[in-house]
Order: sequence, then C-alpha cells, then structure tokens
Amino acid sequence: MYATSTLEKTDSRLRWIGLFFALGFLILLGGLWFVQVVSFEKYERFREVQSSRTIRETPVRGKILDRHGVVLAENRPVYSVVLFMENLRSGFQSTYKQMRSRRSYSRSELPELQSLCRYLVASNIFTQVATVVRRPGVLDRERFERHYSQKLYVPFTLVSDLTEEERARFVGRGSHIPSVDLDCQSLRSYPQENLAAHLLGYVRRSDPEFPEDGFRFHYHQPEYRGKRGIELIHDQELRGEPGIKSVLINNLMYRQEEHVWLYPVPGEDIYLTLDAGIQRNVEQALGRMRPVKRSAAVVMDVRNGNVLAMASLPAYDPNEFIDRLSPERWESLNDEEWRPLLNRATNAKYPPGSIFKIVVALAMLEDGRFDPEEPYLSLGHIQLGNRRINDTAGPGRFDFRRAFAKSSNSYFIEHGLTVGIDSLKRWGDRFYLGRRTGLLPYQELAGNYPTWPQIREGWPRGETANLCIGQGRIAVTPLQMAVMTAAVANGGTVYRPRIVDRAQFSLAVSGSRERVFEENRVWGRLPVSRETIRTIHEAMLEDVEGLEGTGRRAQVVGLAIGGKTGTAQSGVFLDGREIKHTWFVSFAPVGNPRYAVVVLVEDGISGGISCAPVSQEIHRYLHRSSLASVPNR
Amino acid sequence: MEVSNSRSPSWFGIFGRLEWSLLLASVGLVLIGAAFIYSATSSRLSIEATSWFQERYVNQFLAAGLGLVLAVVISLIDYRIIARWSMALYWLAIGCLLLVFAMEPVAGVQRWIPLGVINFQPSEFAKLALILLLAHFLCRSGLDLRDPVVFVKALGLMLLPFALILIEPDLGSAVVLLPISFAMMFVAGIPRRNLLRVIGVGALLLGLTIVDILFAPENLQLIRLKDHQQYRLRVYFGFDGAGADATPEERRRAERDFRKWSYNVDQALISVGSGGLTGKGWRQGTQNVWGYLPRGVAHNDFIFSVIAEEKGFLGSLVVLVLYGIVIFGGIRVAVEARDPLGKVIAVGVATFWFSHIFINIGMNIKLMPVTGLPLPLLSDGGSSVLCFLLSIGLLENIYLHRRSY
Repeated sequence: MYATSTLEKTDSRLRWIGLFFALGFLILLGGLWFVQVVSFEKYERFREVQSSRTIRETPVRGKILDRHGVVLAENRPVYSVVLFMENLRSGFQSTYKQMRSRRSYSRSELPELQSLCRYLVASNIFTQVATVVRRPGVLDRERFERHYSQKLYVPFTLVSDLTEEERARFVGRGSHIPSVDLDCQSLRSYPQENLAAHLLGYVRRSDPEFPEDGFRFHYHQPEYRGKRGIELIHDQELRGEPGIKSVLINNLMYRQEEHVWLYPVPGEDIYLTLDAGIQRNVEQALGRMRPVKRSAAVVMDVRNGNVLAMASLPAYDPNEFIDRLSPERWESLNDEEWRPLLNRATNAKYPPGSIFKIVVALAMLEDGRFDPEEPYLSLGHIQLGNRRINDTAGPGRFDFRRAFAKSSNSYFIEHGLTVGIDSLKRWGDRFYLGRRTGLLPYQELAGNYPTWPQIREGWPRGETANLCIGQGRIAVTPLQMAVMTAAVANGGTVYRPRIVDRAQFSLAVSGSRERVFEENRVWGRLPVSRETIRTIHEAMLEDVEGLEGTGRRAQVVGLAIGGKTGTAQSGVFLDGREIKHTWFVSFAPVGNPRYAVVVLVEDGISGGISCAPVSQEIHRYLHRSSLASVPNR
Repeated sequence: MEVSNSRSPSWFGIFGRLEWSLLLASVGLVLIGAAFIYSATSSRLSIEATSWFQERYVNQFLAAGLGLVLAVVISLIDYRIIARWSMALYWLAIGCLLLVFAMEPVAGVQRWIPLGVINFQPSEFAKLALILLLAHFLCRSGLDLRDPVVFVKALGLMLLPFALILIEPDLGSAVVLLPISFAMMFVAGIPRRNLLRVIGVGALLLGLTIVDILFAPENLQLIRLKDHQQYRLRVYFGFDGAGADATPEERRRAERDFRKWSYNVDQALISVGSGGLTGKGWRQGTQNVWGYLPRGVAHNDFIFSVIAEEKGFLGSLVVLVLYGIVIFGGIRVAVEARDPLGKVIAVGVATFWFSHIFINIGMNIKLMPVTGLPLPLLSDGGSSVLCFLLSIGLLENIYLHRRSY
C-alpha cells in the first residue's frame, strides 16, 4: 500500500480512488477464497458428477459340477466386435467438414448433418467388419444414435455373438480395421442340456437392484441371476462380487480415462453330491417309458443322505432361458398338463399308496402286540362299517412277509387299526412327513400328514384305515420317500438329504479354500430293533425276489434288491377312470445297503408294472458302476 | 541528472528512472497469459495441422512484443505532446467505431475491422483515446470545473463512444467507459455534488432498465437488448424469465434456455471452485482439457477460470498481486505526476485496468454478469493486449516525465 501512504501529501480524491480499488480487490479476493477454498468440495463434487460415469463389471459366474467334477453349468465365451467411439472423433469431424464444404446448410440442418456423418463413419467401419467376418448387413442407425447419445463412453457393439469361424476370420483379416476390437463376455451354458435341469435351475438376464448399496451405476454389463434350483439357492456364491470402475468423460461424453475401483471377484464353483452318470441313466430310464409319462426319481446314498440323482420328467433345456424365450415356448413350458418346469421329485405331492406300508409295518413290528408269523385270513376285501375296501392281493392266508410282498390291504388295515392312529402318527413324524426337507428351498412341498390337532378333534377309524394303505390324508414327495427308504435301509438313521457338497474357487483366489457343506446330517434315529429292520428288509427282498412279489420286474441278476410297490388312487378322474400314481421304492444291496431308489410315475398302471422296470435299470447301472469303480464317498 | 523541459529523457536515463515494477508485472502477466492460452487451446482436437505461427499463444506473444515496442516509443514522447493530439485521436477512434458498422457482422455483432491477418477492435482504442481526450479536456482551472457546462460537455465526450459501442453491441466495453470517466472527473476536481447527481440518476435509470428488461413483457420493453444480453442478465439475477402465468411448456422452454445460457457461468464456477487451493496443474484441469469449459471462451473471456482451475487459489492470488502492482503503481504514478494532466491520465488508466479486472474475474465467480470484457494481458486478443501495453506506456511516460519542470 505504498501508493496510499504517499497520498497524504496530495489530494484526498486520489486516496478515495485508491481505497475504492483496494475494496474491489478485497471483494475479489474474498470471492475467490470462498469459491476455491471454502466451497472446494462442493464444486469438486459437481465436477465429478458431470465428468464421471460408474460402470458395474459383471464377475464370471461360478460353475456347477457333479461330485466327480463333471461340468453341469459353466460359462462360454461370447465374442463380439466392438467399436471404440473415442477413436472416431477426428473421423466424425473430417467427414463433417467435407460434407459441409460441399454446399451450404442452414443452421437447423447441421445437427442432422452431424448425425449423418457419424453414422457414415461408423457404418463404413461396420461394412468392413461385416465383410471380413462375412456377415452382411446394415448398421442400425437408430441403435447407433441411441448409443451415441446415451452411452458414448462405452464401446459400441458392431457384430455380436461371433461363431468360431467368424471369430477366426476377424482375427485373421480384421486387424487393419481401425478402432475395433474383439470383446469377450461370458454367457451361462449348460453343456449337458436337459440333464438335472430342475435341480440346476436356470439364470435369467437381470438388472442389478437399484440403487445397490446406495451406489448408483450409470451402466452395467449384462448380468444374470439364478431364478430356480441350485442357481437360485446358491446364487450368492455363484455370482461373485461385481467390479466397479469409473470412466471419466469429456463434455461430449467421450471416454478420457478409466479408473478401476474394484476388480470383479469371480463366483465360487459349486460341487454337487450328484453323479452325472447316475443322473443320466435315471433320466434315460424314465424317458424310455412308453407312452411318455410325467415321472420323477431320486437316488440317494443311504449311508449319508447324499442325493446322487434327482430327475423329473418332462424336463427342459436351461440354455433356452439365456436368450429371450418366445411367448409360444414360454406357454409350452407352462403347459397345464405337462408342466415341464415342475420339479416332481420335490415340488409335487402324491398319495404314497402301498409304499407307506413300510411305515405301518414299522409301527406294527415295534408295537409289541404284533406277531409277524401269525396267519391272517383275508376275504379279498375288508368291510369298514358300510364301506368296502378292495384288495388286489386277493383272498387267502397271509403272514407278514406274504402280506407285505403281495401288498395285502386287508392285512395292513386290520393290524394298522390295532396299532392305532397315535402310533402311526408318531412313526410318520419320525420320517418328518408333512415337513420340508430343506433340500431345495422355493422348490419343495411339505406334503400332508395328519396333525395332532386333527387327530384330537376326532379321528374316524376310516381315516386310519386309509392311512394304513397310504391313502387319504397323506401326500408325500418322492424325496421324502427316498429319505424314508434310506432310513429303513441303513438300519434306522434318518439323514437330511444333501445335494451341495462344497463351494470352491476355481482359480487360486487369495485366501480361498473349499467350503464343504455339512455332511452326514443326522435328522433323527428310529427306535427300532435289529429284528424289526431284518424283518422289513426280508419282506422288501421278498417283494422283489419272491414268486408272489409285486416288484419282481425290478430284479437284477446278482443283486439283492429290497423294494415296495405302490399304486395310489389320486382321486382325479380322466375319461371315466381314476388316475393312479404309481411308486416303487427300493434299496440295494440288501445285505449291505448303499443306494435308495425311488421312482414315481404319474398316471401309471401299477407300481410293479410301471415303476419296477425303471428301478431295475437304475439298480443295474448302480451295481455295474460300483463294481467297476472305487466306492463312492 | 535533470532533464531540461524541451528534451526527452536520454536512453541512458530511462533505465534508471523507469517504473520497473509496472513493466515487470506486465511482462509477467503476458507470460502467464500465453502459458494458459496454450493450455486452453492445445487440447483442442483439430484435424488440420496448424503451423506454429497460427497458434494463439504465438499470436499473443507477437501482439505483446509489438505492444512493448509501442509502449516504449509512446513513453518517450512527452504525454503533454500526445495530449495535444488527443482530439484527433478521439475522432479517429470514433471514425473507426463508425467504420465497424460497415463490416460484415460476426456472430451477430459488429465489433471488429478485419486488417488482413488480424481483426482490429476499435472499441479498445476508443477507451485509450477517451482517457487522453478527457484528461486534456478536464485540465483547466478549478473555477471552470465547477461550471456545469464543462461537466455536461465532458459527459458528452464520454457518451458518444459509449453509445456507438453499445449498439455494436458490446455492453461490457461500453459500460467500462462510465467508471473510467467518472473516476477521471472526480480526480480532476468536478464538484462532488454534480457527480453524485449524475451517478444517482444514472443508477436509478439502470435499476429501472434492469427491472424493465427482466420483468416487463416484450412489448413494454423500452430498451430492446439483444437476446444474449438479456439472458446474461437473467442468468446473473437467477431469473429464468417465465412469468407466473406461464404454461408448463413455456416454463420448460424458459428453463432450458436459461440452462443453456447459464452453462458457461456454471462451468466457469465449477472450474474455479474445483481448482481448490493449489490447482490441478498446468494443462491438467479436466474442466479445461475435457472441454466442459466451452472452448470458444476458455482462452479469452474465461481464461481466468483456466488459471484458477489449474493453479488453484494460489494461482489466483499471484494474478491478483500482479494486477495490484499495476493498478496501485498507476495510482503512485498519479500521485507523483508533475501536473493534473498526468495525474488524471494515470487515474484513467488505473481505472481502465481495474474495471476490466473486476468485471472479468467477478464474472468467473458469478459476482458479475457475463460480458465479453477481456482480462488485461491474460485474455487472448491482440487489440486488447496492445491497448493495455500502450496504457502501461502512458503510465511510464508520466512517470518518466514527472520531474521535468
């Protein structure tokens, strides 16, 4: 302020001017301080908002494999040719300049001219690419303009989903084309197609939740979410963690820089307890039935509850869900009669019919008042009040084994009524009937079983009689029957069924190790004597091996199979006849039980005719493969 | 060594007696200006290769070089001799301002006279001519200055170029003439009462005009501003121009127009603000390099935003300090001037600088409405650089001749 100090000797008017200037400078200084230092963060945020776009990068989804590492669901690379828009700017401009110099344009025509020039440049490159890969076509102008105005900062896809040959041609002869490159994305694929489709489920294109973790994405790569089955249940593990990067853009939205904040973490691979070989065999066995039937089958390791196969027919190909499904296809997948999407092994319930006699037999044998040797004279039907229940076993003399093998309704109703509903209820509860096993959440029914309140309200004898032959207020899923069969087979341990063995990163992700899902989950132990188990095993063996057995068609030479047929009235009538759901539950080998096999056929003829042959095929396969290989875990 | 009345100072004497701080500050500003003009223009995507002599920062150097030579030449001719020719210079300037209207409008305005390679902007020179003539006119006895007729004549001298520049249109340059003239009249000794009266009436008229422009329907507007001027005012006052009874369609349109016009200012503010204390580094400002700060104005009207973004508050401070040296140096020259003529010219020049600086920097931080006023020696523009260096020459002239009675 040397100027003002010397002002004393001159006139005051100059001093006023000096003061005025000083004031002006202070105002500017204060303003700049306020804008640049005090409000820095505010303007920095503005700058960031207008110049950065966050992009969500989809991680590679984990695979699903069977117990031996056979791939059931994986990702296939999908190649496309993409165009880097920021490299085209000078091309856009020079074309625009050229076009503009040809004739004069009015101001209002210029935006259209610019758009045209952009399209010309891009479509020129498109034609080059199309020629090289030999996929002629025209660049969709609308799609290009939309990309230009909205997502300029990400590459534009010129040709998508290249075939192997197209990709080879592009790699070989496309290198001279400017500003284009191959882009690879992974797409879910199920190499075994229909195999275990219901169990695996499928994925569908799904936009991430918005806003996710309070974080807004401007753009995200295509992302798939599990919608059914294992894909849904273990979506969290399979999906991995998305990556986040931000693209810094200029005022025209062209990409300037990229920062990766988070690299995507690939999903974990899920190993199932399933055995793809068994699964394929089971599906083929069910599929060979003529006429084609709606059916289901479960193969379980009786020693630990591991599910080795689980099939439901008709099935579908989960690959179909990757692309958009046509409405007609969607309709046929939801066909009322066939319902291919339904997993009949867990998500449908049926009256068990005679296979429930296994539970009734346990109740009888453990009752203490019952002698399996004591003969019973059957009339071929049984009269309950004014209701007459027919018996396909026919009249005659029955002891326990014969009654079981011939599936005498009269015998089991007679003795079941003696045992009483309370005891039957308790035995059913020990197998968790009427409850979900928890194997496939969202895809499992609990079934029906009498509840204590129902029983206490007054339980008619007729209902008990129905229950003794697996009819009436009882409905079960094939999976529940597998649990039951396995428990009886292994001598009384009820295992919770298990389908997922372990989750594991396929690549060496730092700090990763395999996570084994709980094994040998004992759900309960049956209070049974070895005597009872032996009696039932013998009776079940008799059903398959015996001359009068209903399950003789399940016989496999050299293998002792214990089984029980069931033919249940559904209460549904079609063309004047009642539809019957037929069952065959079995285990093998009888001396050293290993596999429980449950087969259900909707609208079958009888358990012995419809289901036992399917079981036979499955047992034969199991027998052969266990002879050929080291025992399964 | 005393120099006699009739002789110019010798070359040898000049170096010892120059006001070096003024000169060094000016050279510093020219260098800073060229550096940031380079920063603001080099990132521009251009398909034609430009030769080095076509680059704006080179032009700026050339203009500055010419300006310095002319400044030295001018500083050697006693300002009293120059003042005698001021009337001729004034009418020459008026003539040029009239000539402008014969030219093809550029972007809707007529401000330039094309002279082959460069465009000459007469309004800049008109400011200097007015400073000289007004100083010459006002250097009379105190008794004369109290005469309202003299005052009115002085106002008339100012109003002629004011009106011509206003209809070019170049509102900013026209408005700048007001503080320059009033400061000169004030220092020359025009009675305070007369000045206040005119300023008071002027302020009232200005207020009414602004209210009229912003709020009156179009058919009731007494002064029709150009669209861009109207919008700049609206942006400054944060008023989008949609009346209370506007339909949603009108309101949307008004809002869109408003946003379009406020874009420059908003981006300038973001540039300045995001510079922070130390800035992002030369040629590293994303607002500048990535084109958010409109390329058409980054190197001239909004050069300060580029400096503030890339060099931060400290950079702004350096610029302000350099300007402070020039302006308060100008006042010091006024104090030390040997006669009222020198004093009044020096004050005129200092106010000339101050007005440009305050309005331009103020506009970058939304303290002032947007006008096309260049920032002295920093903004790209040959005419403006030449004029500001000439004005430095005038100050040096007065300083050199301060003791030669």
